[in-house]
Amino acid sequence: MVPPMSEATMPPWTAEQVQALAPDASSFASARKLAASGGWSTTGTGGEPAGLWGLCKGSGSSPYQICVDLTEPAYKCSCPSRKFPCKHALALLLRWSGGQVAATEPPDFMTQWTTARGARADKKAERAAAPRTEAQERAAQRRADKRAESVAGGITELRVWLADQIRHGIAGLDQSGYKPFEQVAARLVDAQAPGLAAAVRRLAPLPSSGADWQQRLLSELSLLHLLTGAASSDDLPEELAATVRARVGAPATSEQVLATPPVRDTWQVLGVRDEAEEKLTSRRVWLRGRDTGRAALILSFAAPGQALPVDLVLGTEVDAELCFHPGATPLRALVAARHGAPRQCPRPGPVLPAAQALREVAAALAGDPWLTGWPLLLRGTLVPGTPWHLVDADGDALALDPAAGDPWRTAAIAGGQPVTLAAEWTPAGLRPLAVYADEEVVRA
Amino acid sequence: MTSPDTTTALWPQLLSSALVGTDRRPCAPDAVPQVLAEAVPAGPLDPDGLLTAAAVVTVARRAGQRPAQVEAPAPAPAETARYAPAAAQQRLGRLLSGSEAELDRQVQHELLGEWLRLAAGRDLLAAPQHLVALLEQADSSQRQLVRAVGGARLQWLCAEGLGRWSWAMTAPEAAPGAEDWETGRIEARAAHLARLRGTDPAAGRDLLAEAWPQEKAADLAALIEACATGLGLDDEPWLEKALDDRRTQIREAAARLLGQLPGSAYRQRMADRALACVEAVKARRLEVTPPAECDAGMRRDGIVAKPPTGTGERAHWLAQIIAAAPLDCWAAIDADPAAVLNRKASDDWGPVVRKGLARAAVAQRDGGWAKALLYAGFTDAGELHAQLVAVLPPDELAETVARHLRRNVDSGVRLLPALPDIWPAVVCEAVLEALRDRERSSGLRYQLLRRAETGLDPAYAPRLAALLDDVPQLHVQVLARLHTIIAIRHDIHREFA
Repeated sequence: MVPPMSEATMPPWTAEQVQALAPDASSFASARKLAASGGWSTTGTGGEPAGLWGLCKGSGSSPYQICVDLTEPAYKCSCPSRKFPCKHALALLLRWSGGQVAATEPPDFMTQWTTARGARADKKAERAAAPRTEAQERAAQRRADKRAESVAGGITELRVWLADQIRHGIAGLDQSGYKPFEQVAARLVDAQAPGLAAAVRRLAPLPSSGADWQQRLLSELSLLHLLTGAASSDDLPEELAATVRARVGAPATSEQVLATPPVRDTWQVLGVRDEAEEKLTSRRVWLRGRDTGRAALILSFAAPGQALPVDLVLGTEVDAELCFHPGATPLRALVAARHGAPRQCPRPGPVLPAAQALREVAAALAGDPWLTGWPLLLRGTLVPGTPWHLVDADGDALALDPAAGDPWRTAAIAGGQPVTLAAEWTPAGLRPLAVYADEEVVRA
Repeated sequence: MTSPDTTTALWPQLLSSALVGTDRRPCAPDAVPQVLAEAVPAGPLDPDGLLTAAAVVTVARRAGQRPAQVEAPAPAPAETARYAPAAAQQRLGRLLSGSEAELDRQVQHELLGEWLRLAAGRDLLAAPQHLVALLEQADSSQRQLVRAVGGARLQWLCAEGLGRWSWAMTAPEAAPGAEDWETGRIEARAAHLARLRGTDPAAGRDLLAEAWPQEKAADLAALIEACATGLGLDDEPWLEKALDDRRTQIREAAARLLGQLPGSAYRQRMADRALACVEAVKARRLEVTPPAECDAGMRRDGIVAKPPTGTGERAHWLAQIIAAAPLDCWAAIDADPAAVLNRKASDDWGPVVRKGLARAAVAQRDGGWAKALLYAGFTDAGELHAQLVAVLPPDELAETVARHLRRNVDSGVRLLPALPDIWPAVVCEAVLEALRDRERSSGLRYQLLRRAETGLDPAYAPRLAALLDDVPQLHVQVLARLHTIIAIRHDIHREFA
């Protein structure tokens, strides 16, 4: 997922980065204990691609062999643990992070593993790179046509369903539970429009979301209606059409994204938020460029039990090239290339006054009216209340999303003084991501 | 939000039709703002038209949001104390998030208590980012410590929190006054009375006398107890009068206070009764003659006539008299408590006398008598023995517990609660010995391990680690948990150095 680093030796990760890899808190606690123990031998780092290895005394007679490929990252350990990565791999990473692992030549067990992995990767690349035959091309075209037809059918059905809700009234939807929404969503999955299906599923909890739920539901129904209209239209500008395609559920492929012109900047990591869904864990990393002032979102997914990438750590910045997904308001991006190691970033910038931040959000919405999240870097004082506010030096205040909970911890850190706050703009209000105080970054 | 909203009139019309359905309530908006006219379909709206109009309004509202005008709160005052060192702060964060090694929450909570005691003892503060977690997690025994390590920031936060954490505010509660006394709960009233007695005992006495007739028995007993503050011989007349009250609670409360009052007639009466029952004969003997009856005078002074099942009534009366008599009255027999205890009592009354003396030593917190009783081999199947140990002066206490641990682990374990939070060295040594020696494993071994988790001085971590290398594998597993905890406590202490 992360392109290999070009440097020969990799700067060690921070303990926090290692912690982010741990499948659960107890694994990390055991790893910390293990890292401090005396059962280690033959530890080292180096090789191509950059790796990390070591032997760790276990309960058996022979020590466990641990191999880590730092570029992916990928792990192997001869212990029987089903956790991934296991505590031995995490402990080895912690020792490396603490400067206790020296650069050396890899031992046999490491080179064997690297070679085997390389062979598997080559085979995969070979299969992918093999030129398509004419028959394969035709089959692919047929599949694409069929898919477009299927999606169009799904969109028509959704349009009719939306109109039916308005015709018969939405007042009673709080009595019928999730079922009506689930049925429509299932149809849209069948119609190969996963983006629309997810959007319909997000409607389901609204009728039970408390006072004024009817207003929220009408807003979201109307935006879905707007999306179906746009998706059926043939004469959208290309950028808007790309936004609509992504929203419907056919985002650009990595190849298409990496083909766009890269944007090089010092990208500051303002927030990292994980969400566990049914069969997938997703990680959203919010970035803003120090020089371009651009916002970006790096989205990654992992199956349960698998670790999400940890190359972007809250409170750091990295000189890198990003390629943006095409669209009228480019936001989602991929890291195309990095130049140097990440650095701590205690004073991010530029910071926006509230009024200017809202103008930026308005511009983003003008391109993508379905936008529900946008990273902002603000400075102000937190004011408790219902809702809470962040008030800037001009006295302009932005409301916080009450559903995000009362930010008492952030307020305690700020102590009533203006602080730099990274936050995600949402239609319901700001959701704090991180607070910068006294040269320290604290997750909000 | 706060700006003039051009969509104010249009949205309710759309919503009202959408709620019941356009079939029942068709929608023909008459308030389409000029700026939206191009995007909102004209005329009566079908469902698609209504959705289009609603989408336009929704996006217009989201994009057209304006900043609100809100006043910033007053900032927190600067701290006068210093923050705990960085390593200690990180430790606190792990203890509060429950990510400290593989320990259960209960142990992490105890470790948190130790962290707080260390910080408070050094006048160091917890970093602001930990304050909310401290407020949410501290139990009632830790609240005082949380106030101590929270500093000015905690007080500011609680003031901002508007009653959410009012317990943590140290701001003096509104000076307790007449209001508390007139309408407060009994605890508040007793506290008020005690405060008054602290500055002006006579005024307190008058206040109680005024309230006396209308008080309930339980409340009155609590108020009498409150007069322990500022107690003097001037209080004797009304306390003596209270002994004539027909309510038991009142009589008991009054008798307790009179027992604490040096020079009181009550003490003299009890001393006279005790010395009448116990008489020195020859050099090494005591002639014991328990009272033949529980007369009116004894009952008035709080002697309970009816013994519990299994106890003879004369023994019951004798024990109560000795327990209530001031211990210094025994100087009439021998100046040294040990000498009194060395005398052999007649007719097997010895155990009853000793039990009475032990109760007196506990009630009067007399370390000299407690020591003498324990050296004379006083034992008791119930709590009395442990209570007696707790009265000992600190170094005697440590020595006694260590001796018990060496002689019989179980008997020592029962005494552990009397020790200070962190055990003295002599006790730690004895505990390590007991842990090393599997042969002396006892029925209370689990309790010993559990208590050692908090009590063992963390400086013993290396000794405990060495011990682990020294004992059989099976035994190691039993001790591993204790070692983990002591090692962490060791680190916690070091991080404050």
